[in-house]
Amino acid sequence: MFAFNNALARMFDLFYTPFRSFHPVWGLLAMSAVTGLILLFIWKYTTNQKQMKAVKDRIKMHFIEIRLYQDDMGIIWKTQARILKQNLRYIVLVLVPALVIIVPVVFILVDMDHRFGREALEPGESALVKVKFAGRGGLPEVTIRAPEGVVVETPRLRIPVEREVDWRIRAEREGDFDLAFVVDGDTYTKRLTVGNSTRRFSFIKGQATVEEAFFNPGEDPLPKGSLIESIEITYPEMRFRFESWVGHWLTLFCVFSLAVGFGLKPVFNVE
Amino acid sequence: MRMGRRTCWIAGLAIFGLGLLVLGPSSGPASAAGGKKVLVLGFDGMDPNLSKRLMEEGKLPNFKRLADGGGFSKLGTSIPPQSPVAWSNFITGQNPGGHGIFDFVARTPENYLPFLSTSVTDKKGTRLLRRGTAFWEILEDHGIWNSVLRVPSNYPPVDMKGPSLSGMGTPDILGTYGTFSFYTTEPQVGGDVEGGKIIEVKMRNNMIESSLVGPRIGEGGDAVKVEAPFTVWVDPEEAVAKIRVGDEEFVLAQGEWSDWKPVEFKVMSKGMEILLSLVGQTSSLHSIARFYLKEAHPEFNLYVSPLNFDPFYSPPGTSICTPDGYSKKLAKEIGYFYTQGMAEDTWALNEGRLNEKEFLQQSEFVLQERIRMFRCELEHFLQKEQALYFCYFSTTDPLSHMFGRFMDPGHPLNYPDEFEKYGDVIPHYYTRMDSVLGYALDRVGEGTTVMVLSDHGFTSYRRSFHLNTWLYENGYIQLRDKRKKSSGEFFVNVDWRKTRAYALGINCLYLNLKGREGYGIVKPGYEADQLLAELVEKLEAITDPKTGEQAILRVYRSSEVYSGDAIESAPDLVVGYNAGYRASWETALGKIPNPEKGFFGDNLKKWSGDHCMAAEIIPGVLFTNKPLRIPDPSLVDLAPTILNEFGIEKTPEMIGRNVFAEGPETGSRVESVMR
Ligand SMILES: [Zn+2]
Repeated sequence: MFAFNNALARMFDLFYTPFRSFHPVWGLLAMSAVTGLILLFIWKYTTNQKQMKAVKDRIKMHFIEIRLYQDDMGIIWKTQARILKQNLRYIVLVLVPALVIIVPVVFILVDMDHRFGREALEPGESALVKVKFAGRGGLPEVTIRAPEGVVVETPRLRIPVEREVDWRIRAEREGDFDLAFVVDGDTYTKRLTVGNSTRRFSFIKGQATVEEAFFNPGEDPLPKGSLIESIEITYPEMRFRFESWVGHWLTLFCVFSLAVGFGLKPVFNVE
Repeated sequence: MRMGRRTCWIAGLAIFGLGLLVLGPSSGPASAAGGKKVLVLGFDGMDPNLSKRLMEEGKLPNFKRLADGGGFSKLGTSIPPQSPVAWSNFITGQNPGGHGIFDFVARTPENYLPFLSTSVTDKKGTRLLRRGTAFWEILEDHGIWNSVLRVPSNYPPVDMKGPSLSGMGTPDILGTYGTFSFYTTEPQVGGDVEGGKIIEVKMRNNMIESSLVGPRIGEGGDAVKVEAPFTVWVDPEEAVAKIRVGDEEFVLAQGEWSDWKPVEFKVMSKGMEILLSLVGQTSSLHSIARFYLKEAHPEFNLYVSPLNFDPFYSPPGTSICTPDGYSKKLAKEIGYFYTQGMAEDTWALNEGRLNEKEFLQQSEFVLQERIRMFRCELEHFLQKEQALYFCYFSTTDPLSHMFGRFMDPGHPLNYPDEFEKYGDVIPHYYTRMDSVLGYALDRVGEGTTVMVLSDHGFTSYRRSFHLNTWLYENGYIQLRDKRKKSSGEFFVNVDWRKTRAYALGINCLYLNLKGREGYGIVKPGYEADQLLAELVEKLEAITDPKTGEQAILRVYRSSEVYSGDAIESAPDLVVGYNAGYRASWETALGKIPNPEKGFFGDNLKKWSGDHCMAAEIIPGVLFTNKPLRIPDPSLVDLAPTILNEFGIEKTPEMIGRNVFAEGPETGSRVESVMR
């Protein structure tokens, strides 16, 4: 799973390479457009285009019926029931391709979240580092070691009920840094990314499980069964702003990929 | 009718040509001044005597550069010398009789109730109460680009095309001039304090849960207070805490300030909010706050700044900038900034919730933000052919208020050990202003007219005078419940049917005039005149039993010092205190303390410097890079001067003169101060 994910990440990296030095919105829009296109083709080849057309035509016909017999409540009720039935049929027809579509989309989305979900720290910027411990009982002793270029700004903050220890760190220059956490003689690390070019980086690192591989790709996981359950850096959320609109990358992605998909439907003759 | 092809061409060319004529740089009314540029810096409360001393000591090289190469003068201030009044003189070129701002509070004559004088909020929204035309409105009418940042008495800002941001008078989201919150595990007896809410909290399992309190939403009985919950986790031993508010989570060590954190007050459900956000709308109230962890152990003490409007959103029913969206544009470039009027938290220091060091840190944030703001907009100004740029800096005023006692060895609240520590604070901030000026001078180069002004100077505030108590003791005020011998705020115990005069605000005194006040008894004309004469004579004769000094230097009759359309809402007398004296805070809000304690009291608050005295003794400063040609320039002269720089005549309402033009010799200093 990790190997597969890493390979996938490389592929995505390749795609985003031309956009690295531009505002993240360009990479985001490009990927949204490509996704829109992929969706359109998956749609075209996984749906039964003929049947879909038939069902849609029937729904249209029933709507005409309603207009024609709008004074006859009986007919209208019946017709509405038929529309509902055809709609259900339509949904069944759509279900299979939808399931097919979901798979690549989820991979794309998870990867995108690691590029557009949060901003890497700027030099001079601070962030919260959270270490969560596995198991129960008292909090183990933990110390943080920051490499040159990163400053630990606060004493440790222990929250026993949450099994959590936090620090605030500040990045002093651009680069990738490994923060080290020493627990019980063992050292665990977490990558810290500083610098503003668009690239993929991981926010949280957990133990080696399948979900971890899937949702938090990008960094080697903590060994299974280790005292630490996860290490997280709270990078600032990336916000996209257009005139008065401020929003999350997912909103832009949805709007743009659907727009491309729908917009190109007639071009590729898709129902 | 269909136009032929050729007609189309000719019409097009004609329109294009006309466009060139109108827009072209070498034609039209805008070019009358031939690309003039004016930069005006406002440094609130900068004092001429201290400036002079520091220049002589070589500490203000850039001010000296201006003074030597251009002009430096005392600048006549307004009557009374309060910032909202004085800056209105500057803005309109009129005295308070014209612009209608007489004090920081005004009253409704019908019910004697006070309100903040510069703006009003009702069902129709928030409106600016200052009258008269701002000089930059006239500039815009002449097509001259202008930007006016943070000038007082301009909230909500007058509608302009140019970038402007409102200043002093802009409320926090509670609608106050700035209410901090202080969360503490220490048992409290007093409850809320002046300018702040004190909230007692309990710590359980090293955790505290509480909320930030927003404004009331809705009307009448349906109104609800909106809240933004937050959680704090404190380390069992170390002096460090984590705070979570909304989506924000941050760690502060004891003695640390957070940067600005957005605080959202939700009015609708989460689902509705998401739907609205898709179309770029919001129903939430968006504010920002800074947190300061004063103490983690053994007691927990957290200061939260007043909740400022979030500059990324337009506040509902009002505005803090022009054009719409400018505050957001600015915040994108320089980050979050204080949007409330007077941002330095003087009350938190006065009430002991922040100490001197903490207050200085907080003031430094304000100054840093202002410098960023100033530099950002300066770049736009530099690119213009013809433009006016005004930027206001507050720092010198609150610092002089709070650290005045360290400039005055005779101040009742002055400890020698602290004198060592803080004696240099005010001079230090003058040098900071000097470097702001230096940066500006270097950037604008030759050819731009540069003016630096302050609205008033400063002096020590040692003794408070309870003017309403004096009025009561001398029979001008009668009380309903005579046994009490005092009254709470807003004259609650005053018998208006027997009262002849009352004081409200820091300098204003009103007659209880028949036909004007709700229960007026003094007949206008002869009776009123006699009463005024009597009051002036008695007030000017008052001496402080402790020092033997004259407490009130001069009492001005409004009919003698004011002119203009707004004069009907003027106070009847304006009380000009002597140096070291000022109206008590109680007087300002219509309170009558018990006369047994006397009319005077030592000022034991940290708010120890002031300027609400007689105008003659508290002038501001004027520095220019061109020689000043008239003696005794005054605030009202600056609007006509600026217009003149662009070749525009002053309006008939403006009473001032062009300070760069030789005019007929004017009279004595006092006279010029009064204009
Ligand atoms: Zn002041």
